[in-house]
Amino acid sequence: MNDNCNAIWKQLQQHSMQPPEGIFDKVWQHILQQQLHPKNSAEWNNDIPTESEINERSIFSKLQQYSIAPPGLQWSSNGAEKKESPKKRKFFYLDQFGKAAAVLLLAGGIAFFWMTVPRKKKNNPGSQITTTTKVSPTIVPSSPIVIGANDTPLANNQIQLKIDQKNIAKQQDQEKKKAVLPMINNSVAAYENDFLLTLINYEDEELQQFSTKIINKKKIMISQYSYINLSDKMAQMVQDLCSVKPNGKPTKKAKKTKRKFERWKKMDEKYFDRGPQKNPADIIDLSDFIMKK
Amino acid sequence: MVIQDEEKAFRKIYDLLSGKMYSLCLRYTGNTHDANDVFQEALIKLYSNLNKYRGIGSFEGWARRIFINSCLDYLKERQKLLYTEQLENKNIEVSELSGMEKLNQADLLKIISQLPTGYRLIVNLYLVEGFSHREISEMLGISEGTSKSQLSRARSILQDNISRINE
Repeated sequence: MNDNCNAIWKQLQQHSMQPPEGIFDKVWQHILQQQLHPKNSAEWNNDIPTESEINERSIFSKLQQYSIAPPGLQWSSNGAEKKESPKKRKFFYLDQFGKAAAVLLLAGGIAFFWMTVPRKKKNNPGSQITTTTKVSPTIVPSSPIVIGANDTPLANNQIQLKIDQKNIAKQQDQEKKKAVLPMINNSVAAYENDFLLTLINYEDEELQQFSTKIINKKKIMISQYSYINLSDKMAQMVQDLCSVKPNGKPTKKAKKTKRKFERWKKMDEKYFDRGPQKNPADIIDLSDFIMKK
Repeated sequence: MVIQDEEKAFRKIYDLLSGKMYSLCLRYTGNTHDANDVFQEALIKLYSNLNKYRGIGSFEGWARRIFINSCLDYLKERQKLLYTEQLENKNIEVSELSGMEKLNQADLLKIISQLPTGYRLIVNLYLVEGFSHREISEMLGISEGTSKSQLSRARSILQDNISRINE
């Protein structure tokens, strides 16, 4: 089609025709009504709930706040962060930073403890009770406590607080270590129901902790009743992924395998996550994906 | 106060765009009754999506896309758009339209409105809006071949109508 023809068609884009009067007011009224009742629509007037429905709604609306931990995601907070940001390194550094902060806090607490306690011993042996017994800042002891010349109740409380902080930091550190691995029926659970994501989402040291479980059982749990079976070849790859040098660092083979898994993951995302048409659970889509590799 | 300001601002947008957008709705639907309905629906959509306009490209272009999508949704919902699939990837002959120069815009609108809905959509999307066959195929959920063949058939009907008007 020649340019002249095209130009004639294009001019139609600019063609203007006045809409019927009163349309704006009608639309604006509708918008206002929608703003007042966000769920409002054309059927609003026909959809006024009865009294019994209001009561039922008040009961059922409580379910909105009800939450159940998804299977294998007791580590939900960590997991969510990992899913959102594929840059795992950031997460790793944050974790390390947290540990470093806890260690610093602990070291500071110990240093403070050792700097203050021996001085008290030297100055006033009788004041030992005040540092070793747990005196809460809010509880006033019933029996008189001997306090040294340099020791004030405030100083004692500060020591106690430091010790408590140290214990809390220790406890948090232990809890962190416990909460790392998601398990179902004593087997490793899949992260986001995704086998590849499960493998690449862990740092080397975390992976070490449950590699033997994956390799021995040759399966990754999705829920209590379903799991992914690993072929011998895949189990071998997982073993390669977890192999470490005597100094605890991952071997070249492990790094290479991890890179391979990451590449597969990207291809998987490219193929399956583009739209709802393709589905890894569909055998034709899956075989199509595998055959293209 | 805020609502009054919003109304003023939205009325300004309305005054600026309503003529062109109403014409667009009329072109796609082919009759004033449907055009009125879809125009109102699209205006509400435009208002509720105003905060999504990022200032990239012209505001009119962005609004036009909302109106086009509303027309397509409206027609898909209310009329069964049946397209015969172009199974073979044959080259489709493109016949040029002759005698168009003699027509004014009102004539063009008239001959577009006389087309069946399916053809009318393709003509509007391809010839007037300038979308590619690939984009049209994604918008309507048909193949590129089907889009081309529909346009080819629409052209032959358009040519007949143009010739009739020019006689």
